Amino acid sequence: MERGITTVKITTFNPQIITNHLAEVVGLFEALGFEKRHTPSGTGASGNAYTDCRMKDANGFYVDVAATSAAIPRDITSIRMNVDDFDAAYQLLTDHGFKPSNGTSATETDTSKGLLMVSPSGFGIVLVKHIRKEN
Amino acid sequence: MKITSFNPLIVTNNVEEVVSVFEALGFVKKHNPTGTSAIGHEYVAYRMTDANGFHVDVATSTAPRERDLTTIRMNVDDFDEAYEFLTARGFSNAQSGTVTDTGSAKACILYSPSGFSINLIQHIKDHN
Repeated sequence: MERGITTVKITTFNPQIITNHLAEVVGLFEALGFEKRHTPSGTGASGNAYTDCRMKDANGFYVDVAATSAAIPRDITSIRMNVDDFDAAYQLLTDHGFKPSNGTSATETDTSKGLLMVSPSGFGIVLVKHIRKEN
Repeated sequence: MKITSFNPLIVTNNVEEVVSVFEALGFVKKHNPTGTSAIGHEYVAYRMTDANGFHVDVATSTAPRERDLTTIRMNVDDFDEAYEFLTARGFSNAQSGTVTDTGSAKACILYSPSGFSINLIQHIKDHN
């Protein structure tokens, strides 16, 4: 199995919290000086509704807080990683033993493709590629 | 209170494998502090940076761990103020109320009521 250095470019890399307590977690980061930037929502490939609140502070630090309609006993902290080549990054992670969370396939919308992948030792990366519209 | 670092931190018993994932993604190791926590666990940490300036920390300790812990590494300019801020909002200290103080840094992991965590750190500039 070849596991060389990738040519994938990372364009976003920050903590992401997946929670059933969106307002409470967002409120905490607002108190720490973060502001909401945008809040896309939709339905994931697993059928669960989601709302993703992207936040930024005055120093340029980012955090994503994502609500899911799936019941989770505790918040999940993962890494939000946007890349310019989803398939190459997916291949790199699977070469290192990562698997899609709960066996789900990527969630594709008009503007992005995203998938939570979990390493053999248990940490997660939310792999995202934004899709530019031609029209 | 000013936040001076804010990035993912992975605490693992599989440090070489986790570091190798990020090396393959283009991150390089910058520095490598080691020490003993306030509750007696020896730790080794790797701070990694990629060409775009993104950071990730990968740390291992002698504490047994079934699964990796992903947390938020948050450095601040005033540890005590941030600690008070977070505990006033229901965060609990994962180190039985203790704070690791190495002389050059103060640190602890705090858990929110809903279960995410922050590794709060202040570097002490004028340490010996």
